[in-house]
Amino acid sequence: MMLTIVIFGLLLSGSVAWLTDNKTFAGVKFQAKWLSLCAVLTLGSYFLLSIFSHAQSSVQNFSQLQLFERVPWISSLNIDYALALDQLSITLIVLTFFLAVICILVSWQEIQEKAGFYYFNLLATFAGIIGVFSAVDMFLFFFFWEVMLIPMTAIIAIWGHENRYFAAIKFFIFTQVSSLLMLVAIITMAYIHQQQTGLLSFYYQDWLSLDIKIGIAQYLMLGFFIAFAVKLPSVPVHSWLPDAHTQAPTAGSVLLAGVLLKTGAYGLIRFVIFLFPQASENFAPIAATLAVLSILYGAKMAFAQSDFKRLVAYSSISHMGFVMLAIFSFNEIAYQGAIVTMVAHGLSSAALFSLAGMIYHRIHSRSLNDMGGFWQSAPRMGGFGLAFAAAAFGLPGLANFVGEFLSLVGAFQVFPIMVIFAALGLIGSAIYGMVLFQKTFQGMPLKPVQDLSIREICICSSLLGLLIILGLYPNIILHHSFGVLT
Amino acid sequence: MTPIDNIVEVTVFTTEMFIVLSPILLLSFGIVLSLLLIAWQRSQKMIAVFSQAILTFTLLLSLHLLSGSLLTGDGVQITTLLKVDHFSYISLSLICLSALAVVGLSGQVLKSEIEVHDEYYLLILLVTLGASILLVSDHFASLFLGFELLSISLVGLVGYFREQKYAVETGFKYLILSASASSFMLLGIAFIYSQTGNLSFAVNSAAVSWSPNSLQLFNSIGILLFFSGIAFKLSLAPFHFWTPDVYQGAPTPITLLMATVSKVAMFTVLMKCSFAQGYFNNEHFVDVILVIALLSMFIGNTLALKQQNIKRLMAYSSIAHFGYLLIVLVISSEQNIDFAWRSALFYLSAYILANVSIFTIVILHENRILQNSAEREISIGDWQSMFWYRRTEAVLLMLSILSLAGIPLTMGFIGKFYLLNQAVISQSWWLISGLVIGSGIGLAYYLPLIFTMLKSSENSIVENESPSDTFVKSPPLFITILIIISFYFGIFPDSLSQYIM
Amino acid sequence: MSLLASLPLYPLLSFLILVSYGKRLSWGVASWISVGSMAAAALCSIFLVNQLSTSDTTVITAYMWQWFSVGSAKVNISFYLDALSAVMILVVTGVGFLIHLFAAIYMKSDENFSRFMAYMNLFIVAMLVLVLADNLVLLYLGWEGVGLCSFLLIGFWYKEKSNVLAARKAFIITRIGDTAMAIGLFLLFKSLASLNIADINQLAQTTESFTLISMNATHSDAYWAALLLLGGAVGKSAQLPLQTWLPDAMAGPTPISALIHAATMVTAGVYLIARMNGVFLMTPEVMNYVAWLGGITLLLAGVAALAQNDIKRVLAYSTMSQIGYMMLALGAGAWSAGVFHLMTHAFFKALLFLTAGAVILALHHQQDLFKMGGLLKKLPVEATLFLIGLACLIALPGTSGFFSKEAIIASLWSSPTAGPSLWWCAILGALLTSIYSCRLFFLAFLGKSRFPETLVPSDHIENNKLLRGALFILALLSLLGGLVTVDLSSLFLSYKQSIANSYESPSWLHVTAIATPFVGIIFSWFYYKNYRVISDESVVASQSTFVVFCRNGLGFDTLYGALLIKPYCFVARLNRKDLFDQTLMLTAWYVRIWRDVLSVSQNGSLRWFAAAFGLSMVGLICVVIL
Repeated sequence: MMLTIVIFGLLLSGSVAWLTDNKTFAGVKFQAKWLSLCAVLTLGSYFLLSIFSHAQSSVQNFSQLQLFERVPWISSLNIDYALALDQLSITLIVLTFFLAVICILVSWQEIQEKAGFYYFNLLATFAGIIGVFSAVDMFLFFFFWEVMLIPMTAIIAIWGHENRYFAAIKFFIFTQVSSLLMLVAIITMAYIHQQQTGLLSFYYQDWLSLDIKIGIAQYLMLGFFIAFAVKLPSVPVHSWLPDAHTQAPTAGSVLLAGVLLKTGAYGLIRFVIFLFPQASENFAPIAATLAVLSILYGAKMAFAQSDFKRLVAYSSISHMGFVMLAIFSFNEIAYQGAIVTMVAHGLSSAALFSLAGMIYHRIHSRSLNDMGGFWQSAPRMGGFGLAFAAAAFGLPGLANFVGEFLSLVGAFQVFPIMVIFAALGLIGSAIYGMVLFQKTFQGMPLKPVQDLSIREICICSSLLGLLIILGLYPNIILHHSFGVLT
Repeated sequence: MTPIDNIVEVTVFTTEMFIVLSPILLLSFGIVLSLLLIAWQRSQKMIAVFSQAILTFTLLLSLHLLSGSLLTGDGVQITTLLKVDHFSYISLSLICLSALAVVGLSGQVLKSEIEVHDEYYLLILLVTLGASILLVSDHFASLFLGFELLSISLVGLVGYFREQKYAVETGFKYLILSASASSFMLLGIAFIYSQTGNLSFAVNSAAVSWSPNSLQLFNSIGILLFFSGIAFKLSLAPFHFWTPDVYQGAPTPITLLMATVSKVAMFTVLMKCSFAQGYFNNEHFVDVILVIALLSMFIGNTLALKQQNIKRLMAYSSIAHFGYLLIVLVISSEQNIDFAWRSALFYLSAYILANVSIFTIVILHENRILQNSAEREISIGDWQSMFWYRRTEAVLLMLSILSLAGIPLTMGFIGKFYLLNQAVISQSWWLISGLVIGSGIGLAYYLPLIFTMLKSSENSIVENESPSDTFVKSPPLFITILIIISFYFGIFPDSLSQYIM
Repeated sequence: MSLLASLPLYPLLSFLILVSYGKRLSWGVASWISVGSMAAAALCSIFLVNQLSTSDTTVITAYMWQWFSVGSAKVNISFYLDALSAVMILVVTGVGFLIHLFAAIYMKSDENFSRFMAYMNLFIVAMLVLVLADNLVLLYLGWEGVGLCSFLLIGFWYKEKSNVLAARKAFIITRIGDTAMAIGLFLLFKSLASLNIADINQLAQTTESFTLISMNATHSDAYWAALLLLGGAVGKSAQLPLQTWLPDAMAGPTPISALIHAATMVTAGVYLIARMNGVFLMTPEVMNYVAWLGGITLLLAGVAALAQNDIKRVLAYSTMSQIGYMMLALGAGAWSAGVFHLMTHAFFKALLFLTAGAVILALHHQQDLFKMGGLLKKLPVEATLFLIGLACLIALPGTSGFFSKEAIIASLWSSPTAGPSLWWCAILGALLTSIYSCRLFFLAFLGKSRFPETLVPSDHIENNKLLRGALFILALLSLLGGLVTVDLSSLFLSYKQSIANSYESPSWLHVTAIATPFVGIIFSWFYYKNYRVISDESVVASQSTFVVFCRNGLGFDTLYGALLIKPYCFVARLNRKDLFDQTLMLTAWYVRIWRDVLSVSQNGSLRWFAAAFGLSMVGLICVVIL
């Protein structure tokens, strides 16, 4: 029941925020941002509390999937409304909640017009994402997968920057087409299950027990893989991401980079690897090559950009490449690395995008050529900028380093040569990180900007704090097993 | 096959048959009554109310019979001509619903005219009757009867507003083309007869003529010709050319009528016939279906890109949608027939719902514009930033567009899901890829529609659109109902599909 | 919390305070906090070393918490103090303290004083972590940390574009080395399943598979691992081929050049190799590479130093060549000699840089040697101090530099991995050293003054006493530093007998080695005569192509520019519009083309429709028939 309350609570409070925005009841002027902030905080803490209590009570504390809900939904096709959690999904949901708060805080000033509808979309997206992380009925998973897409597109299309419609359509079509492939694969799986056991089933746990002929399994695996590779994103299907990230409003970019990309990685782990171990192991060399390609290509493209957000967007491609490489090297160390990288990248890219938003709020431009010498007038911002850039190029002591190090060490056991190439990405990241930081904060001061406000300092320092904590004590995450691959 | 047997068959007409057939009888009886009514007193309001009443009764009756236990197994045979089964009732109720919507909306259009339009309603009723005959027909003869009744009365309706710009031209186009289509169809029927020696669907022509030494080719061509006639009505590529022009030229309620009633009827009868005759075993037929389906998906979606005129856009999208729908005709074996029916009917109801909603909004909008400006057609631009000052209508529109695009939370998605299931079962990967690519292209014109509605309103439409305009009396209720329905069935499809089963 | 664990905390604390209160602190408070913290650290480390030497334990460790675990191998945040790291912490905190003291006065007038001191403290923290780390990952943390601090401090005056670029260059080039090192870590973990330094040194001896050359490979894991670690060392220590960043790094304030780019950070590479001696000993050929690398670097750097005009750049190149000596020593297996030279070099090079800084300050930030001259009379104290520093650099007998450099040179001839040829390299290098040192001294201090405006009177530089005090202590250290015998031989493993084929060292070696500097001095006494005596504008830097070539770092920059940077930027610019995106967008374009083609068919004329109807009928019939 708990997850249902969380998901629908978000949707409900979103619609309430929409309806009551800027209306006064009994002398109290309702504002969507306050309402949604409260909603996210309460639901988040409720989630955490119930997880803890559950972990206390139950023996296996989420090392395996634990079923929360299972009620028939479309009984004519044996489709259930089934939600479950394990350590992986819990980690990602907690990340989602944290970034949700960040998102609301960064939109605080930025979004003035149609705020109600905005926050409705924001909360709906959170709901969809949490659904994706917890659904274990494949039809339901696909359902949420799409549901999180629609409000996200709306956010880009309504509150985005100059070129928003194009970006939104591109984003939507890329995801939609690829996920239709996944839908076909899902249906096929269901019918294979029918052939083997006699009854149709979309239930994830049932599928784990299937044994699929490698011939078919490879095609099905591809169906899933493509959908998740687009979301991750991996070269060569990454090109929706720079546009979407650049055009989206700040919160949109934070959400996209912070959590939405993680749904791709999550899907790769939960569905591609676990459902088709054999097929994906055969596929691993290709996937790893793609990953290395993404790492290097992303880094190179990031260096070439002159748009702050676009640069960060390409850097995300590079980082998620590490995740994919780690996932497909079928190695426990790398797997842990992948998970740490997911969380770390969620935080660091969110941080950089929030920073971009703060700068945009001041100079109304995203172009690096309009920036420079901000350190002079805004040393605090400069300090945070340096720290976040450092996180992006994997400075030890910050979370990203742990993730990338573990990923590469693990992957090196399997693909030594590829890892050597992937390690070149560390140089590339240093280059674009330097460009980003120096073009923004160093050089001749162009125009004085006002330093961070209290709210912005709260955002930045909370993100930085987490980055440091995870960087120096990653065992917070790592002492979970995450149902380690074998 | 001697005449004697036929006579023997016709003679028996039990009460059961009567009951089973009653909705259609009611409908035809109603038509006669309305003729009398017109003779007695010409009043637009009265005839409108009367025809609405008839349709409602027919609907209720068919629904009642649907829930009743009369239909056992594969329906009731009424002479060789007609056969009523479960599915025909469902399609019948779909048809009645859309006809009701058409009649209701026609009121909005006809208000502006001075003269009385009895024949208009009469024609609509006749179209419905023709459609319902198609639904129950089990014989090429009865099929042709219904077909002609439908087309001729439609021709009358298409060119109804003589004084309007395209009316006559459109009427002629439709008349000539549909005439040629039905002649093709007749020829095809003749071919088939020459092979099977029988015009009843029930006689599985597969048994007769798929033996290698017979003129299988001849038969296939016959089937093809017959099919092309129906494909014309369903405006499948490459028989789609008339569609955009006629959609655009016809009065909007009639466009809706064409989009819903005639297409549903045609598709139902097509399924009935092809399943009964087991065409799906005939690889020629399957090839043709494949080609036509892929063509329709591609051409429909592609032509709709950048289309500014809403009615034309709907025409193209309907081409694509019936392309998708053809998937259900390609089934691997007998036991999938039920599932095919279910998928098709669900998809059709989703399609009808979306079309009715969109055309409702279009008509309301047309009225507003016709009020304060010269006669013109609705283009996408007119929906600019609608979301911010006419919320309910915009929400309905978005829902229907999303449903057409097949995005979750809407019926359209479930329909697409059914189709994909169907295609996976019959393992027709070509059609699947066509569907995927097609809907990919489709998004490229569905999304801009939505974005235009979401555009923030800086232009002055907002001002001259006062909430106190004469047409938003009854519609809001209707619209909200539509919204609720489409949401409900989108999230709980079972409540509908259990009806279908 | 043990004393060892607390060692980096003092500078860290001061860093945090300075960062968070920044501009609000007055000069006095800020300098007290930072310098005080350094003093505390210095005392603490002296105490620790004393404890180490007196007590019978050879190692002090401090375990804080487990960072993370790589598979079975635990990666802890824990420190490890043995004789080697003891030397390092002494140098880092001791010299660091003096340089802090100097810097507090030198940078007093700068508007961002507290930020500067904060960076310095942060650097010390990272450096301490580097030298105290008990596992390679923690070492890597310090390694990257010092890199970042060096980046920040080179670009401290971030408003000049050149400084910014120099900082970027330094960071990226060292990052290249770091990446090699990272790969080295992966390899070490793969083959030895551990990342703890002590364990690795042990396992490297015992594990056969580590040194074994598998049939399809050309070299053993040990070879590759050592080579990759060497890559890291080369990057940090500005050795060939990654040396180009160091001269540009002189853009930073002079105390930085003294602290980071002379005394501590650049010697981290030497420390790394000495630390990982267990691995290097397994692969004599890599040891040989190390030796040759050092040899070549010290020669090239010496040549380049001869051609410089900027006083700091001369010192930078001399640093490079001195580190070359250390590398040479390590390569030759003379570990303790190398580390010994590291220490003495830290003393006298810091002295040289700081004195140069004082001179530059007095000359209104004039760094060009050809705009100096005759300072001996005007700044006698600085001149003497500088002379002492140079004496150590040239290794005149009695100075600290003499002992350390002699130890190195002596070990070369008989070493199995070095040999006579490298010995000659070293001798030649010594010659070069003395020559460029003399050139430097003559240009700056002898002759007549060639600068227009008058000096900043020394008593105008406030707290001048303190400033000089720091310098005096350093001078003392560099003179007497040679007397403290650093014997780490117990620490380092030695060759297996199998490869110990030592040459017979002839008797004239020592004489030659000792004589070489004097030869150099005498040579330059006559060669640079005009620098000494002639005292007018006729003394200008030679512009002959070769000299210019040498002055620009022997053309390495141009080479790399042509080979790496330009192509990368070119490709980046070429593909700014993302090739993959273009190709994917092609499909959209394709569909649009189709739309235009098809929309022609919708021309609304009835006869065309009918014709199309018939045609498509025929077409379908064809489908059926064929």
